[in-house]
Amino acid sequence: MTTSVVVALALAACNVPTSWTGTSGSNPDYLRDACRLANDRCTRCHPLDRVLQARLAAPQWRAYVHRMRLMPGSGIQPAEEPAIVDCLAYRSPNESGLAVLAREAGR
Amino acid sequence: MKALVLLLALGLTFAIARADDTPSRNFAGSIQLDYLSVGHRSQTIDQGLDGTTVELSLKLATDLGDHVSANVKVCFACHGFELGMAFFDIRVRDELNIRVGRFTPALGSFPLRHDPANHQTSDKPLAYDMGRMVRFRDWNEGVLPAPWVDNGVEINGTHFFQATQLDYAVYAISGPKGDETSGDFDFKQSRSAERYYADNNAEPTVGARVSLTTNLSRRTTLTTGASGMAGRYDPSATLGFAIVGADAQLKVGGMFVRAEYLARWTQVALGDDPATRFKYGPTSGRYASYFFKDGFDVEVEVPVGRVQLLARFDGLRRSGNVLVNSSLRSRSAVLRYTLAASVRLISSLRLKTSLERYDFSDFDDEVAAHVGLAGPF
Repeated sequence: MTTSVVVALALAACNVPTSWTGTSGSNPDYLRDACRLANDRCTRCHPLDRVLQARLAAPQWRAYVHRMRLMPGSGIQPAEEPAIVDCLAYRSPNESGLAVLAREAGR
Repeated sequence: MKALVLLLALGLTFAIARADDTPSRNFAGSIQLDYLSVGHRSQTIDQGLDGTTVELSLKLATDLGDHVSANVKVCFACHGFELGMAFFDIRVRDELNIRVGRFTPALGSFPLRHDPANHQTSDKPLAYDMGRMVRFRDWNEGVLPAPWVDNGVEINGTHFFQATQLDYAVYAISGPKGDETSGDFDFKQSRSAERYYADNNAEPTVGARVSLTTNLSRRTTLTTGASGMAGRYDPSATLGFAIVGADAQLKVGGMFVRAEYLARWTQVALGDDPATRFKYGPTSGRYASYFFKDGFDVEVEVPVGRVQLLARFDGLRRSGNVLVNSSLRSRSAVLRYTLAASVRLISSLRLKTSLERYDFSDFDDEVAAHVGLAGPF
């Protein structure tokens, strides 16, 4: 039992992003600010690990962030929702991420 | 009550029928494997779950359009498999959401982050203990174990002012269970299929919570909350209880300061012969028909690189007569001092370690250590 749990943990750990690269200086200012905002708001209720593990397609982030905004104490103002979605979509692995959102929004 | 539930079910059916046909699903979960070592094993393992424990949670959230979502969560831990969530959220607007099914009602702050991947210690504050504290059988766990999962209806909502978020919740649930002989809640009855996962007295327990979250600056947030719950817990609905709580959380950058208090008044049956039922005699010629139990928690969490350091001071207190076979006295207390470190090893996998010193009023003091691995997926 213990061995299987450790193996499962190791497998889960091997295939996920390892850092919050959205806040690095190499990204556009908008994304850097958006990810700083996401970092602050998301970590009020849970470690950032939770977000890094979520493998959602870009449009799904909208529904997800909307649901999180309505959680008690989220502190996510309605006007902040799009920026957080943009950050998370940009970070989504194996997705065109921000490009999909930009196309949908006509940006 | 039955008419209300029926109406909600009809409304839900209507809402689902109108929902769009492209549901958004998210599957997530977490695992924690923890080893607890208790230094002083003077009697039996019944003092604490001295050894390894696993906590697993698997959660599926589905959005059925813009206004309806469904959540199902299955957990595996010391009690085996349990249903942690099975509910629909019907969101009329930000300020009005109707939750129907099986869920954790809004009481206090810690239950919002009770998942092992959402907090940095392996165990919970004493007020919310669910079998991890040393001497948990003597104390019959905390004020109300977390996560408390129950069947019912909750109406909640949130409203944003300029820099402030107001959250509220009111609910009616089955409530804790016990009987005339138990002298307290009997938590096993709430997770026993033999007693059915149903209300034992057909009288709902009601509760409410309100909280304010204020952005004091770009990096600083303050959340304060107040909660309450009341009802009757025995089959004949004659024994009442009331729980009140207050909590506060200050976040400055990545640092947290949290404080929480929870108190419960619980009525007990005196029986035909209190002299043989209770350990202590009457006070001023009368046996008290209730006891009082409260707990507090103060903790500071500081990030240092890949490590979250945490210092916690919490306690539990009980006053009132006890059953004749209880190892507690009429006034008992325990204080606990905890130092913890949660180290991010690789990806989201964390090594959780903590050292705890228990200062009991009625028993020998104890030192306990936790080492565990935890993470979301």
